[in-house]
Order: sequence, then C-alpha cells, then structure tokens
Amino acid sequence: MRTIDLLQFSLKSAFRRRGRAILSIVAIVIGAFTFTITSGLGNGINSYIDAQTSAIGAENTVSVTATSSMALLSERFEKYDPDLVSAVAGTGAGILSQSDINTIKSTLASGDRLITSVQTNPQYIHAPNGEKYRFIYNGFWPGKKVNLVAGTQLDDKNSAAQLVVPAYAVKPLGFADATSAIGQTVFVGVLGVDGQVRDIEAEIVGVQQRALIGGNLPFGNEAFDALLQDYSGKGAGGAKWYPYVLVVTDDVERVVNDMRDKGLSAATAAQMVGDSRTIVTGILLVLNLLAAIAIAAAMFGIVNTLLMSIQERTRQLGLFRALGMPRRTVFTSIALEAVVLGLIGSLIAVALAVGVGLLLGPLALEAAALDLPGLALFQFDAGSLTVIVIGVTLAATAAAVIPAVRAARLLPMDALREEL
Amino acid sequence: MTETVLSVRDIQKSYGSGSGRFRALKGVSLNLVEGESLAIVGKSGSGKSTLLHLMGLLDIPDEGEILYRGKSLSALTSRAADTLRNQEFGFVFQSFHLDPHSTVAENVSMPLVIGGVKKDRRRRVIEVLDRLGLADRADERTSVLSGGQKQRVAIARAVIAKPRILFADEPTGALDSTNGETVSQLLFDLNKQEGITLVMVTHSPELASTCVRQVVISDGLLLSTSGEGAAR
Ligand SMILES: Nc1ncnc2c1ncn2[C@@H]1O[C@H](COP(=O)(O)OP(=O)(O)OP(=O)(O)O)[C@@H](O)[C@H]1O
Ligand SMILES: [Mg+2]
Repeated sequence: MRTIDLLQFSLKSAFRRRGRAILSIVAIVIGAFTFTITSGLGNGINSYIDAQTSAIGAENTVSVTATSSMALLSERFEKYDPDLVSAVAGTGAGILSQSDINTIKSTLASGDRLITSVQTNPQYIHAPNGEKYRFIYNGFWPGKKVNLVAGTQLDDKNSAAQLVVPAYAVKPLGFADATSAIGQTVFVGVLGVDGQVRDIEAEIVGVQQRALIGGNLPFGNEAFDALLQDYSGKGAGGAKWYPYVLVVTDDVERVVNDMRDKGLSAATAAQMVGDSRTIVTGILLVLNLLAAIAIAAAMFGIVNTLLMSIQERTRQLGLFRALGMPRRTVFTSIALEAVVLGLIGSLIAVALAVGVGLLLGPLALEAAALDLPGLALFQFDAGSLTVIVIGVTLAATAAAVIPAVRAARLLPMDALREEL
Repeated sequence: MTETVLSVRDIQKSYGSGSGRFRALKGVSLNLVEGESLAIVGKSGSGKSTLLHLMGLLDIPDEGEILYRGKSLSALTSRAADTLRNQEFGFVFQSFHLDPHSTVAENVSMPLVIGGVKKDRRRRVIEVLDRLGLADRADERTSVLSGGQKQRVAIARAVIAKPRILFADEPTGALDSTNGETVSQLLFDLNKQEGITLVMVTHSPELASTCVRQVVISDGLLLSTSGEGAAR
C-alpha cells in the first residue's frame, strides 16, 4: 500500500465517527494545553530569575551570619558574650561578636577578603531642602550590579559616597524623573550610639529598575558603607558587633563549608536566589504532574476510542485482510489514526496555550498588581513547543499499540463473520 | 492447459466447539486445473462456501492441506498469503462484504490500493464498472445500492486486479436474468480470453452447466464430479 493511500485511509477512519474523534482530541488538547502553559510559565519565571541573579551579581561573595537562636528548631543556648551588651537592636538575632570575626578570619585563605559591617542605624534620606523619608538600607554587596533605568553602577573604587536608589524614590525625593535624579546630591541621616544624627552626603549615580528578587531598596558603594558604619558607631566604647560580614573569595564553596563547620550561617547570593528558584521549580513540578495526569487520561481516551473504532470496523478490517492487506499495514493504519488525533490535538493545544499565555499573561500580572519590568509571565520557545507536540503525539501512538495489535491479529473470515 | 494450480487434499473443517461443534467439511479432495471453470453445487448448508473460503486462503482447514502450484499454503508466511490473496486470487463473497462507508469506486479500487497500484486506478475502475452497467453510480455510497447492484460491485472488485483464480460464491444469486447474463458473460470472457481459472458456487443449473466441470457437495463430502473436465 502506498503511504499516501494509507495516510488518507487513516485520516478517513479517524474521523469516521466525528463526535468521538473530536472528544478524543479535546482530551488531548486539555493535557497538552496544561503542559504548554506550564512550560511557558516555567520559561518565563526562570528567565526572569536568571536575569535577576545576574543583576545581584556579587557571585564570589559569601554572606556570613551567626546562626540565629530564633531559627527554626535551633534548640540551643547561645553563650553570653559581654560584647553584645550594646547590641540593643539585635536581641536574639544572629549577631556576630568580635570573637566570631576572629574565628572567621582564621579560616580565610590568602586571596580572600573580609568585609565587616557593624550594625548601622540610618534614619532618613532627603534631597537638599526636601522632605525626609525613612531610609531602609539594602546593604553593601561588593561587585553588585543592578538593572538600571538610568545612570551607572556603583563604583567601589570611588572615595565619594554613592547611592543607587529604587525608581519609586525618584518622585518623593523631588526629582522630575530618573534621568534628572542622576548626579544629584542627597543626605542620609545616621544615628550614632551617642544619640546624635549625622548626615552623609551622597551622590545618586543610578536609579534601579523595580525588582522582585535582590532588593527594592537603596544600595550604597563601599565609601558610603564606610561612612554609614563610622557614623553609626560614634560614641561606642570600642566594643563592636556585626549583624553580618561578607567574604569575597574565589572559592565560594570552601568558604561556605568552612563557615558552616564553625557553626555559622553562610549564604551566597546565588543561594538566596536559588531558594526562590526551588520554590518555582516545585510549583512547576506539581503543574507538570497535573498535565501528565491529563495526558494519561487522554491516552486512556484514545485506547477506548480506537478499541471501539476497530470493534465497529471489524468487518471492514477483515475485508481488507481478505483483499490482501498485510497485518503490518493494518497495525500502521490504526497507529496512524492515533498520530492524526495526537497531532491535531497537540497542535491545537499549543496554539491555544501560546495565544492564551501571550494575551492573558500581561493581564494576569496587571490584575495581581505585579508591575515587574522584564517579567513576562509566559515565555514560549519553539524547541519546547516542538518537544510537547512530539511527546504528546508519541503518547497517543503508544496508546494505539494495544488496539492496533488486536486489529492486526484478526483473521479475515472470523472478522467478516462478525455480526454488527 | 493441464497444470494443477490448486490442489485440495482431504480437508476438514469444523465450526464451534464441544457439543455445539459442527463438521462442515468432512474430508474433501479436488484438483483445480489452470484455466478451467469449476462449478460447486449442492444443497444449502452442505459446505460450499466453507470450501470456497478455504481454497481462497480466507480460512484455515482443521485437517488436510491445500497446495498452490505445488506449494503448501500452510507453509506460507502471513505476508506471502496476503500477496497471494491480493495479486493472484479474486473473491466474490456470498454476502458481498462491501464497505458501506466507501463509494462504489472506492470499494472496487480497494485491491489496487492495497496492492500499491498507483497508475490508472480510476480508469480501470470505471472500465470494469462500465461493463457491469454501474459506471454512473461510481461515486455513490454502496449502502444506497440494491442487492443486485451490490453483487455487481462485488464482482467488479474481485476482477479489478486481474487475478489468476476467481472464486465466486453465487455470483448471480441476487440478479435478474438480464444482469445474471451480463455477469456470467463477464466471468466466462475472463476465463476464456485471459485464462483466469474460475471456481463458482451456484444454485443455477444453467450457470453450472456452462462450466467445464461440476462437483456436488453434500453434508461436507464431495459426492460426484461431472462435465467435460470430469475425467481429471
Ligand atoms: N461461522 C460458523 N459457525 C458455525 N457454523 C457455521 C459457520 N459457518 C457455516 N456454518 C455451518 O456450516 C455448514 C456449511 O455452511 P456453508 O456456509 O459452507 O454452507 P453453504 O453450502 O454455503 O450453504 P448456502 O448454499 O446456504 O450458502 C452450515 O450448516 C452452517 O450452519
Ligand atoms: Mg454458501
């Protein structure tokens, strides 16, 4: 039998009972649609996370904190350290004392750099003559890069204090737009231990795009951070305590392990992002599982459709065998029917999902009030769409094996005698 | 013209099992000579159709064997048997067995489609249908045809691939005398002009006597052989 004739025949057979064929296709569409939407969602969110991770930068920086006694299931008493007397703000939280710092120093390799930051108390930010706003600091991350809407990245080599402020701060600070904020001087008030507030004079060098991960708060350069620490510690008796320290290293893994060996908490920027990626991956896994269940149900639908179809066509198949159609051709024709159903179903599903995703994605973000530049909720690429179409079609074909074998086994006369 | 194409050796066939078991053929032997025409006659239920199905490779005998050109059919691979049915044999079923979902032309061209013929299918189909007076019904569904028309479509389908042996189970059973005449004319033309071996089951003494040989079947046994070819 020629391929074209076989194809034509299978197409005709598949749609002999139009209603049933359409129901099978609908079942396939549901499964494949779920797969496509899930994959689009995964692509969209993961590529956003990727962009954010590179935005966090600071890939060779490890943040070290004491393990918090408030941590879940910590169940241990923390030794009293008289140095912590002045750590009013951090009661109970994982604060590092000078002896912890010494411990950390002892583990470092020659190329490693330790950046200590004492507890800081920034109070407010304002433009000259502008209104004061509460200043919540994002911290200092050596080598940090952010997604900018205007200006340049922080320069740690520059001895002048620099700030990158989030986009939402531009208007309140009294600037017309992000671009006109660049190069402007602002003041950040810092409360010392002596109870006095002193202003840091800093230049806005960049305005940060709104971000989901990595902080939506002002960042400072090294010079800014030094001033902040200096002013905050004014009046202290010399005892220092640190909410966290940073280690810049070429071997992130070694530092993380060393710190953990010493009973300290260590995290890299990538690990912090990794947490959110793990959550996203988990959610996508559940969605994919649902899609797989839908596909499995659709496969049973195909088995059923094809079994009923060959039951009805027993005499026809017997006739074909009587007229010399080989068993293999019978098998192929039944399998092709499934291919036709699977292909049509998955193509419809993919087209539908892409349409729905591209149309509803922005609407959904808007409805959820998630104004995150750079986040496309759904992102589809030709590769994974092709994989879905092929995969679903293969699943449909696999479902056809039992009915097809059964059809191919028919003996001509037995099939022809079948009363229907 | 004395080569044996098909040799039936003491075949038996039963239907059902246990107490419902029915012995339709109890040991039948006969030789079919290339180019001859053989009529199988006998009472209803005597086993004529059963014999024809076995000879046409549509069913498998319980006992005995059938040789095609000296080769045992039971030794054939499934694929070889398929090719034989498609290329060498033509079969007209007693109950036609047309595909009601296909058109007349589609039904008739089926052996060509299955055999992978691509050239001239439509022309050949129309030619045969024309001979049987059905060319104008080519694109209708077979389900709308009368019994006699269906029978002629079944015959057209059996001869379209130019088989070497044509098995016809009561080919004129549903036809009036005019159409019956047309059909037997076609069958014997093929037999005489193209040397196609003809095996037919018939209740019509007239048609039977046109064949060179007649065998009578009764209760699953071959009773007698007559006609000019009887000596064989
Ligand atoms: N599938 C079957 N199952 C059980 N019995 C069968 C089957 N097919 C045929 N028979 C029986 O075998 C016997 C022979 O049947 P067959 O069809 O060969 O008869 P026939 O000579 O062709 O009769 P008719 O002239 O009526 O067509 C009959 O008694 C019939 O009842
Ligand atoms: Mg009969």
